[in-house]
Amino acid sequence: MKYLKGTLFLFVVTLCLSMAGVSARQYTQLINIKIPIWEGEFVSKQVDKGDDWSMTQKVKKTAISDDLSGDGRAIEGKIQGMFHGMITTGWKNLPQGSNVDFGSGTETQGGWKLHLKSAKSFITTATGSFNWDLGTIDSSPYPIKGSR
Amino acid sequence: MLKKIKHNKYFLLGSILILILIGISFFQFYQENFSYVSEYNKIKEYCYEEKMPEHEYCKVFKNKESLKSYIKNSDPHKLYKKYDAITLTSEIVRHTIFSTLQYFSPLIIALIVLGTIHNHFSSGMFENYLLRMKYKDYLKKNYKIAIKSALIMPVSLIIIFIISSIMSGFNFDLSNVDTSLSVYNEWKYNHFFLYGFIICLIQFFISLLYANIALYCCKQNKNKIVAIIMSFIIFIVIDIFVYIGIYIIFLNKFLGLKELSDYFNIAGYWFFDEGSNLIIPLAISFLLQLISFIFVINSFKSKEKVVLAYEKQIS
Repeated sequence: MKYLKGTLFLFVVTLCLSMAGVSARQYTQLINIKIPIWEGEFVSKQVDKGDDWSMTQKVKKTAISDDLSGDGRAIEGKIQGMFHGMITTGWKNLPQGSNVDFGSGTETQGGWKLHLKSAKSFITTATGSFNWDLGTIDSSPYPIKGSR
Repeated sequence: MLKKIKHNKYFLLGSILILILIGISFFQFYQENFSYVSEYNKIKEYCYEEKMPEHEYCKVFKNKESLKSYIKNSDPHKLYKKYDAITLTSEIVRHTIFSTLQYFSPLIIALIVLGTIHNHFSSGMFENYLLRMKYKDYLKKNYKIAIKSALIMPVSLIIIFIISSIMSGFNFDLSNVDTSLSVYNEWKYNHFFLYGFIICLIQFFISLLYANIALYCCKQNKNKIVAIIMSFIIFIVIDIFVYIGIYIIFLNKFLGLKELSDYFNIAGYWFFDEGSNLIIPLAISFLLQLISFIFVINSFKSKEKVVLAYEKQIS
């Protein structure tokens, strides 16, 4: 009995510790996206955000390179709401490896599209990969990672 | 008055095109960022204030908390406050149709320069000018047209700034600026007038480069339209040569220098991000316009050759 109580106690403590600081979030991965030349934008397919109503959306640029020089490329992103009354955010810089929060208004449940473009017009294309964290995802044409 | 308008009709045409572009840019900005406002107000009225709770817009909100969250987080007044004069100016220049001038400003400048000067050749007026004034004075008169055309782009930037100041209610309060916006750059916001002056100067030099290309093409082609197209193609060739030839092949692949793309993308000299050294594009733009000016001087140096080219055009 003593050992059972001890084991149960350890189990509860471990469970609490493992849940500390963990917020369940889901993100979708856009891999090897082609950023067009000049003022061209890549527009993602629609991703449906779930009904959490509290998690703002974040985007992280995980890799990018100019297709000719191999240089990094400054990329900007914005998120467009597709349903009635949903906002379109401003363009934000996506520094490499940084989770950029698109802030207030992106908590709304519904369809969203991610727009990506070079910060400046270049005559060469670039290829990059991005993680788009919507908090909770109902459906996405891209691979979904994380948990609800 | 009418004579003056007729004489400057291409300059006026170019200016009107730019003003229309500026107008469309502001409309586009407000359309993209604030078009949701009418629906937001309907949702607030029908769903939040419960004037029509059965409306289809209200069905999206499963409970009062989600509706409260939407009303608070999508409030357009909060969004409007984020766009002070500097942010609005930067957004218009960078994220609206105005940014297409990165590639189309050479065309507009060629239209103004060639539209005005090419007529002297094709109409036979060139002979009359040579009778009435010294050849050097004639060249100076034409170069003044090139300089005037080169002022259009910097002036358009100033106009955008003035309109943005008015639209934002002369809001220069930077405390509400969203520093994660791509247009935000700490140095730029703290030294905006210096930043703006340098960008205008860079644009003046680059526009002079485009005007010099147009002047060169004026002598080469009988047909005005062909001369304008040739001028645009030469700009594309120079752009490719500077970026791919000088930077990618020589500096990047051969010398191993990296992360200098921004400085060798001459079409992109309309704005710069944090960490950019503005002296480099200023020096490059000055050098390019100087080299092109030397080309133009050489091309028009010999009066006899210019007269021969003129006679070819009118034959």
